Amino acid sequence: MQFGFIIPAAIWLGAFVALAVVLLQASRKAGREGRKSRHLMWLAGAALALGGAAIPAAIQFMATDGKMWWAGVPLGLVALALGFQSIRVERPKGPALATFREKSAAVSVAAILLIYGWATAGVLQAPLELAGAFGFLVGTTVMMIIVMALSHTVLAILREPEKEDERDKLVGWRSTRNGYVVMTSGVWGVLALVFAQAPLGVLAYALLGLFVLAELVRLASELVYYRLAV
Amino acid sequence: MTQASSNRVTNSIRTLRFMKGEMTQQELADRIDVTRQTVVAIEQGRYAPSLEIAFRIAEVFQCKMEEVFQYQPAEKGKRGKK
Repeated sequence: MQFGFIIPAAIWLGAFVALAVVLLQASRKAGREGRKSRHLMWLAGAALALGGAAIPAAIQFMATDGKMWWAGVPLGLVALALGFQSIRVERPKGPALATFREKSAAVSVAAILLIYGWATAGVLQAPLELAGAFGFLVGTTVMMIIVMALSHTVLAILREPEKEDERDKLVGWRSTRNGYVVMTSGVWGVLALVFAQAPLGVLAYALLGLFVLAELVRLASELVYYRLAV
Repeated sequence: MTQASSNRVTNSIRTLRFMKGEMTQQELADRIDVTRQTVVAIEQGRYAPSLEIAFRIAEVFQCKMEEVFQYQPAEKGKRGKK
């Protein structure tokens, strides 16, 4: 795994974010003075998109030992362009069937089941080794970042996310509690594996699986609470 | 009046909305600064709001809190699960 890409990626990101901030300030100033400022907003969005593309590109670079550094660029561009589009498009104002948080939980459950299900199916056909667990972690994390960024920007474009209210907080607290129960119970299971002197690869996969399961329980709890209980 | 099976707090929001010129759930949600889904949950008795939200609802309908929310004391030995 190579980490040499991080510093140039950080410089790239910082430079474009600074440019975007300057353009946004100019846009606000123009707006205050009553002049048209949409083109400045677009330029700021484009700068953010170009700058942000460094993040998935850097992750891709590290995950593939520098072979596919470019693969994150188009994805980053699409994600950030969609994000910028979500700022300016006119979205429907009428009543929604579900809140943004509920839709977000549903999309996240689907993404976890698909990505981790697919990755686990591949893992089970090979011996559980530590190096494989590391690749599994990096690969699934990159895929989750990409899928979540794209799906959530699309959700935000379709309808403006609502402000969090007290019921959202209550649902969040209760769901996190459920996830925590799974996490602590699972840690006891992993400890049992440690005492049974299980191989490191098995322990690594057990911990990864535990994190995923706890997150899945938290998100699924949100869905249940939103629809049935709270 | 709405009452969920296990709840002892009931409310008259549906009726009050009707009497307030068929106020929509979205309008009420905007005025008390919550989502429409929260208003739906309160109306159906699935969610008991905080005192602050309860007061805001009463303020919107310009009535006393007791006219919006009603409390049914549980019978001895039949205390509901919290």
